[in-house]
Amino acid sequence: MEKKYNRRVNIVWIAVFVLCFSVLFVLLSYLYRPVTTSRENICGFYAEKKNTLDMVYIGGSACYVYWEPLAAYDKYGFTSYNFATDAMPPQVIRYCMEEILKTQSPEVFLVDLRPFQYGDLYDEVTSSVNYKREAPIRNVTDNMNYSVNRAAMIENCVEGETAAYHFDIAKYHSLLISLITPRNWGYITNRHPMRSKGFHACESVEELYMEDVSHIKEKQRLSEEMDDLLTELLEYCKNKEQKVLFIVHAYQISEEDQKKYNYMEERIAEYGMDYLNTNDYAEEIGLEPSADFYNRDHVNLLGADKYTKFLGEYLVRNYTLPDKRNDSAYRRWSQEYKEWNGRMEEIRETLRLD
Amino acid sequence: MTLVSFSFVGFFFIVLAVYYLMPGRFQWIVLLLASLAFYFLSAQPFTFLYVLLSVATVYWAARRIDRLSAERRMQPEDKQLAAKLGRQIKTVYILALIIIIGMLAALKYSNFVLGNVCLIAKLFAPQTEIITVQFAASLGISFYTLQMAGYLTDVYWGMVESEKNIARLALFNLYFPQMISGPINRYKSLSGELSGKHSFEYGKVRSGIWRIAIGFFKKLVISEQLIGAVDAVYADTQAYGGIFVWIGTFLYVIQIYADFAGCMDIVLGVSECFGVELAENFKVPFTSRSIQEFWQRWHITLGAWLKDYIMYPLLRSAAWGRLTKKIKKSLGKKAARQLPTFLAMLVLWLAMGLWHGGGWNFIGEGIWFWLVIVLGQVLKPRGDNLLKKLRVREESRLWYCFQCARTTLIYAVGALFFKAGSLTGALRMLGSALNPIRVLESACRILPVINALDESMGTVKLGWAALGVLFGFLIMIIFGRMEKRNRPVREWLAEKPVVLRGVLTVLFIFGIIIFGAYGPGYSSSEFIYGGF
Repeated sequence: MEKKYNRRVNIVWIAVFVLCFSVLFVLLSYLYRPVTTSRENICGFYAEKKNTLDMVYIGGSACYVYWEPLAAYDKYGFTSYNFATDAMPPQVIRYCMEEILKTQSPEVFLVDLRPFQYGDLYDEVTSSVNYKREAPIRNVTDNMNYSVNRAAMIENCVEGETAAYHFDIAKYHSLLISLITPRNWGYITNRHPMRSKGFHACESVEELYMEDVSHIKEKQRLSEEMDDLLTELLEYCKNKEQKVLFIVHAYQISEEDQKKYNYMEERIAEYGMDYLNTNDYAEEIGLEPSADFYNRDHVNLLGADKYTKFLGEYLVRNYTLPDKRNDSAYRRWSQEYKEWNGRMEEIRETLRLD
Repeated sequence: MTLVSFSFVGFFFIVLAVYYLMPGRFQWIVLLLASLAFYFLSAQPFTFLYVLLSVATVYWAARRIDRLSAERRMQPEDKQLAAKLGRQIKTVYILALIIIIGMLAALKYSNFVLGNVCLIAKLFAPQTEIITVQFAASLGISFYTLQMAGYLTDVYWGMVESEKNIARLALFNLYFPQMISGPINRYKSLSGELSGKHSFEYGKVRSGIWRIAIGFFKKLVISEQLIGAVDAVYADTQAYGGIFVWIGTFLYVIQIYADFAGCMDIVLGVSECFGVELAENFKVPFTSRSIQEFWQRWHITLGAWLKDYIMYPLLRSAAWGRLTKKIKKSLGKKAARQLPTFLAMLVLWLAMGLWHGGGWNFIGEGIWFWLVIVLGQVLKPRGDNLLKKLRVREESRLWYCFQCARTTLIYAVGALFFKAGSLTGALRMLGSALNPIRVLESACRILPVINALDESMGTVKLGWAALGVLFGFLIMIIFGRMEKRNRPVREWLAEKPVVLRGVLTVLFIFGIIIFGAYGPGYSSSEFIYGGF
């Protein structure tokens, strides 16, 4: 009898210990993770209230410098968020969607197609093709909450040894400075409000020469890997019966890129999904190569303002997005817009002077 | 799969769960299957053939010896038959030994032998090129060969009965916790443990897990953190001469101890969780008063094996008896008492050196320790007289500290041979370390060299490593003191209230997570003794 009682007590203690240890381990892992733009975006997403987002924009850095969720809210009334990380590799997109769908049920997802364009390009610094590089993958995996979805993402997206991805503390544990940095402590739960809803303004100008390639109708097949990943994503979206707009941001696009996007357009149409290449609307958007770009791949704040205006109108025209500006539950968004816009005005002034 | 990897931790917990869910009579099969899985996950699969050959040979030989011995016992009056059977037994024994030790020699010492043969040939034909061969040895071959040779010898001596079940013998050979780095176990004590039924004991498993954590601590917080600094010194003996040799060597002493003792803690802790008690390999060695005592506390099972199966049989052999008589005749009684023992010890130390690898530096290491021990024994009476004259109390704390420091220094010189990679390299480093001008000159360069070292270590910063090592070293000293007082930290912890126990355990594990050297940016966590 006593033996049985002791065994039960031991089991309870083991369970309590394992639970406490696991919680502390997860918190320590989150504390160690470096606070980067990608982390701000993902942790900011986790801090959003459940089922409050009408649109979520997924992709690489281009997303978070092009789309201004708060400006779109102010002009059109729908809520949105940039779930974007630096150089996001294409294979993680469907897991990001899965993660988003855990807490949000957006009317539409916007998926950046550029990861499929640069995914198979060779990176000389790391001697690897882009989509296999450690840093872009970690930008996503090392910022997400511990979950089955994250584990599946790592197992399916990482080549080779995965243990140090699952337990990312193995990568960062020697950054002692993280333990004493107040900013890191703000991210200890991996949730931290992102006041600009995942938008980051680029604050300088690079003059570009933009070639109009919209007349090119030829198609260039993607590499086998990228094609398979695109198919996988399209299948996933189809199974989820989720509205998705696959989008290409306006940038200094080359003829080869345009051909690849034409091919992607065809593949997307096969699945009955929506596609928009904003390069084809550069004039309509009003992007000025001499003033609205930060570099060949990204717009600056002035460019983002124009892009958001164009895309916002497009979305309102083509999707049933609600206007929440008079909804008291979203008053916070108006407040956040005002604060954000105040900060942005200063940057706009500087950019205009430039 | 190394012992300090996420995959090993996962593997261990899965095996542990299956082990205790199985009925007692099948538990040894779980261990055997786990050991096979561990082997195939850790080594090149084809090398398993060597293990199979070793097990099959020893199994056959032991069974044959047993049968022939039984036959001999049944007809004790037939002297002729007994002699014939005796010869057969000896033949089988020697043949099996030749096969298993020959395998070890071929796989591990071919290049050493070929290299030396070519060097000699070069004296006569200068155009001779050094030939090398590439063999992949099986995992832990130096450990399991001794274990199997020991078992076979025990059967030959009639000390144990041969194992009837080849699978059980395979488990004795392959048991996964001890596979990589020992300890070298005796069949008599381990076979019963392995084949016995073990019910889940919370206290035992908890204690085992604590021991594993202590092992991880020693390995990751201390040993791995020191690799950068030690390797930098040993890789460039020109730049890091003089005082740096001493610094590098003493750091290496700490590194190798933390590495090997940490590995043993993991091995013994894992085994303890399965209810299988393995032989201890370390007993706070740096608290030894002499190098002799040190070797009774450091890699205990290897020292004991070499004594039991090489030195004592040699001393008992007829040839040694004849040698003793000759010495007695020509040099007198005292010499006859000491010289044969010293010679047997020389064989032991040469074997010890060679066991560590085919290289003159390992032989040099063995000879160094032998020399120190022999000189210690020869000079002991004079030393005792001197102490009396100086009125040094042998039981005083200061004298004890001096003795421990002296032992550590002697071991450090041996470790220098071990680490140097070649005999000439070791002698060059030793010469530099003993050259007072070089020591003074290098002492003036300490700060710039430390800065350069810090730069060369890349992402792993020296200051960070030093902080981790300091933290780890202090904890290791505390653990060592507790062990010395026969109150290991695990026993102390077990007596504490459950909440305090839990808190301390969490803090300890977090200490390893924070201060340990693991993950991307660090070298893979192989054990120094894992290569044997």
